[in-house]
Amino acid sequence: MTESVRDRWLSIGMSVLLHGSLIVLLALGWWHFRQQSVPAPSVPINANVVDARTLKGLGTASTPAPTPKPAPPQAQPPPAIQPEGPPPPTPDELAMREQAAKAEAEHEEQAQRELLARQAAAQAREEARAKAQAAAAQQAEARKAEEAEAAAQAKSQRLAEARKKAAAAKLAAQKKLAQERKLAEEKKLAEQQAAAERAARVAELQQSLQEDERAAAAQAASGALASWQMAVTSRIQNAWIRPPTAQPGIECVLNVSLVPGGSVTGVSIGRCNGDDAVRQSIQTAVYNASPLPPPPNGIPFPRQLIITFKPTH
Amino acid sequence: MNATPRITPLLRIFLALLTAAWLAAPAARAQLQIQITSGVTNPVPIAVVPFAEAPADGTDVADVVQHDLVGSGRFTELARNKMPATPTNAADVKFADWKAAGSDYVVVGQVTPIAGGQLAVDFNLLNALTGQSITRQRFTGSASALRNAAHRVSDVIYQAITGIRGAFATRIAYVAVVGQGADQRFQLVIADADGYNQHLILESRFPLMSPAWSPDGQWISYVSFENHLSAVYVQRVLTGQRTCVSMRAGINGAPAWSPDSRRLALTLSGDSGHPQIYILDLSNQHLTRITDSPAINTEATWSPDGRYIYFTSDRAGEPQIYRIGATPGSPTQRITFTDEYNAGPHISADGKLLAMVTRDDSGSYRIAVQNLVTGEFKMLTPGRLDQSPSFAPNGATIMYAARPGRGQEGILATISVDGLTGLSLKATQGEVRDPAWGPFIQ
Amino acid sequence: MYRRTLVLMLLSACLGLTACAHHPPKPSAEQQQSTAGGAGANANGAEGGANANGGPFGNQNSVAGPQEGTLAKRTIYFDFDSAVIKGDGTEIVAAHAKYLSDHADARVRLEGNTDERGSPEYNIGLGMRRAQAVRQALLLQGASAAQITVVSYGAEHPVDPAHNEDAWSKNRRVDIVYLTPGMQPPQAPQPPQ
Repeated sequence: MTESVRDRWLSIGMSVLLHGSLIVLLALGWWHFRQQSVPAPSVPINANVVDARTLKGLGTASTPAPTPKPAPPQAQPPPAIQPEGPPPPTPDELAMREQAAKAEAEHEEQAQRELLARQAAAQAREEARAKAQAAAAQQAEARKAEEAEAAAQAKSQRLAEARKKAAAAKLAAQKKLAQERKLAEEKKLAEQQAAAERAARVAELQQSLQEDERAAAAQAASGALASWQMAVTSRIQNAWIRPPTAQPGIECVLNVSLVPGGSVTGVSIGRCNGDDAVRQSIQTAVYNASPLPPPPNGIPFPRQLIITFKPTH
Repeated sequence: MNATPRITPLLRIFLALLTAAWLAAPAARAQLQIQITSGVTNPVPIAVVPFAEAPADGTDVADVVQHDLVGSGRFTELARNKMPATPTNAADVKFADWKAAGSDYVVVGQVTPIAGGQLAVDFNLLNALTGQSITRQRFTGSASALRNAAHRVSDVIYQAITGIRGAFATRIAYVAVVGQGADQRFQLVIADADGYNQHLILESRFPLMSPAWSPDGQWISYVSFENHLSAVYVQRVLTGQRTCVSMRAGINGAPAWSPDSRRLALTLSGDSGHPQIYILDLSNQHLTRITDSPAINTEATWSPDGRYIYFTSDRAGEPQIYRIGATPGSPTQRITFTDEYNAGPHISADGKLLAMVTRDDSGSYRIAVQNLVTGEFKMLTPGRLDQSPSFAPNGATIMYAARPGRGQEGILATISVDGLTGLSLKATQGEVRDPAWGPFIQ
Repeated sequence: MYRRTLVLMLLSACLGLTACAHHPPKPSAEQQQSTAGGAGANANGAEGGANANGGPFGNQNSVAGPQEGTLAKRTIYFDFDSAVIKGDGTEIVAAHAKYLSDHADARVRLEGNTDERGSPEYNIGLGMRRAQAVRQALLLQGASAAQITVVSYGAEHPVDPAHNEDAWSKNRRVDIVYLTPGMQPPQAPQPPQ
């Protein structure tokens, strides 16, 4: 049977639609992966700083003492009058002074001991705090791991149900469309238009189904995810040696690329109002925190992390 | 009737692809957000690799740099016997080895002779974790200025990693007392901030005290008793030319330059009066009295904006620190309330911290710092006979005079502003006191 | 430009000095402005024989002064943080006051001192307080102001450099130093009130 003009336009239209949507999806994916980038190598600075006056120091004399002016004949200093000291201390005073001297010596020792003790205490406190933090983090991780397992099971069940629902709906929709296509054979123009409309509606239905499914999955996973976020946060916080210029008001965003083992493969600085010292410190922190702790079962290792450094005190 | 079977399967494939694409999208787009709101303040581990040395006077540049950085309290070093290698340029650095040795940063460099008998110090500061060069610079100068070049290297590294300008390539002035009895001499000495390269700029048989640098580092003002009476002098550092600016009856003391170099705060008392703070206008010799209280008022130090003077006064019985406007008739405000004795104030260049001598409850004289913004008061040194605190121009360290123990003579020491890191300066003969930390060298 | 301005200011300070170089009746040994070549300078103070005027205060060199009885005692001691003349000090002051009032050409310099503890310039103030206390006591008992010069060395001029209470108690003192009799030092201008 020969092709009608309308048939040809229909086939062209479908073809365009199909290819167009493929191209759009490709474009989306490319734009998405474009956000990963490797930091460009910095250009070494070659500065010649010459300040001859400063580098030469104070004049060329390296031997200090100039010859003193020869002293003219000195007038005889007056015969030394022995200063009569204060009244000799009484035995009581002597005893008191001894005591005072002893007390001083003790005090010095005690001050030294106190200082050492304070330093040791500070150190012990730091260690205790670090230990407590580590213990707390461990406990939290263990607890969250349990929760995660239970949640994951529930989640996988719900996912299976959601998938079945989606598949069934998909099939139903496809059947419906097939029927409509058959009807359109008889009234091709009107039916083609209706088919196009229905195709659009199907796509909408798909999208809303997908959103429902995503919301369900997110809710189930949020507990496990949050605990993993906390573990990562704590690891990076302990690794971030904060320079003095990292004060509240500073906010810096790092885009971090990961591989599935949790190792950091690349870091790029996004929006950041910190100085160079802050920028160095946050990159160093993330690399020192690598490899990051693995997420709980069922959650894939994200390929990208967005880390915002925003000190609050 | 043939067209329909062709279209229907095509449409099915199209719809299937569309669905599949939407299903796959969330997994690809998942990006986790992490918020970091605090960190730690440990010292930064850095490795300063020995520089390739030209045969020189024996100055070990890397050693000077390492001593500077570690002495500031903000860095820890990697001992030389633990270094995995000794590269002298970035290309030879295997970053993984240095990271494994525990260093976050690596410094490599060379000292090479160049034309004119000079030396060039090249260094490269590398981040061992990112594998990148943070900064690379060269300083040139004569062989006798090699230590100074090393200090400038330290300054650059310090600023790159802490954000604070380094104060290693600065100078100090202090008073040294040598000899006993009729042979005793008082000396005014200028040296590097680490105590090396001492230059004598004045020697006298009579006491000298209270050296004070002008803001541009070209002049030093001090008190001399060379006529058996006190007088305030101003001396040009490079030439030694000196001028007496005050020899009035009674006390002439505690000179302090205003931040704009135009004025000198002084303490004067006359024969019978109480010591008061005066301001001498150096351009016209006009003298203005600022304080007016029946007490000892002395030891002026200017706020960085030149509008206020902080000083010691015992109008409340024991000495405390007060603040007054630098114009006559200004109100006075008491600043210190902790402990019974607070004196010898010196303010940091950003105006936020005030260092002082404090006597604690046990009678120990210690250096303390008060935050003028928050009011927080913090003891820094253990004492027991500390005095004369002076801030480094970057406000990160305080130098002071200490008497470490009975029978030991006075020394100079530094303490970091967080109180955690202290150093003694290179030992010198005799007793040293009255340190004054000079400004940044431009 | 900055430095030049400063040099100009200080040069004008040299010229316009009212509080330093003074013109006593006799030619004085120039010693106010000593320019040192190179890196050092020396300040040797007024030297020379009894006739040389070493500075605006005439000859500040000491002489033996009276030695009879209490007058041989020249030091008054003080308690910690105190400017109150105590014990022996009262007698000593009285003796010297009488001598001064009997000998109008006698001249003394009162040197106030403290122990080493605390802030150096504050100690200058404490030493001056002690010297002024002795000056006041002398004036009240017959001496005249023209006979007395006061100076405070604070903690800078100890007699005993040890770091213990024994030494400290010896350092908290005012020394009475007799100067060349009859000297007419032009009074140094007082700081404006």
